[in-house]
Amino acid sequence: MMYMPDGTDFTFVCPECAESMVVNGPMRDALIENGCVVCASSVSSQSFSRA
Amino acid sequence: MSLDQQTNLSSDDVDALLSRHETGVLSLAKADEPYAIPISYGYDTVGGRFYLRLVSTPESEKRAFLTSSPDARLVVQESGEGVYRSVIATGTLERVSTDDLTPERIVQYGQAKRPLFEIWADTKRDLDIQLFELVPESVSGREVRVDLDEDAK
Ligand SMILES: [Zn+2]
Repeated sequence: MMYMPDGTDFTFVCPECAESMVVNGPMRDALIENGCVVCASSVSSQSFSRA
Repeated sequence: MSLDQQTNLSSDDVDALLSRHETGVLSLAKADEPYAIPISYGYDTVGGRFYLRLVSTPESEKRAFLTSSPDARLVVQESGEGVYRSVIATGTLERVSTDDLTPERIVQYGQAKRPLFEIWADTKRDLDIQLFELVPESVSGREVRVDLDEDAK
């Protein structure tokens, strides 16, 4: 993955499938909009913490 | 007597068929051993790619086929009212690591609706779900029409 030097990273932990990954801001927004990329469950902002 | 007519689908028709369905049968080859499974997919008409979630358990036969990037063939079909259409896409099935995710890929997987594993009794936590992309080397579609109304006219 290409890291954006000025971006803030978040740790995402899916409440359904327990998948965890570090994501940047645009990916966080995409996950909230589209659901967990692994299991398709809906995702809220509460599933993210500052990495 | 009805006359069967077979035509090739245009690429627009192929895209339309793939977009209005979300399940197909994926065949994988390892050496000379075949393996076929029903899968759900998301299809990106712009990039011409399929986005798949596959579920396997450590002991499963599927796992053995997914360890390398296998040659894959995906068949999506529909039928009704005297018409039968099928699309066959062949290519290599590539594993997508969560390290390789981009916002665009997250959107594509978001459109891969109704994963088949949702009907499973296991909770998602216990399933090993892996992400794959099928970038087809070739895609072809066929339509076969049987004129059922011939006698009624
Ligand atoms: Zn999940």
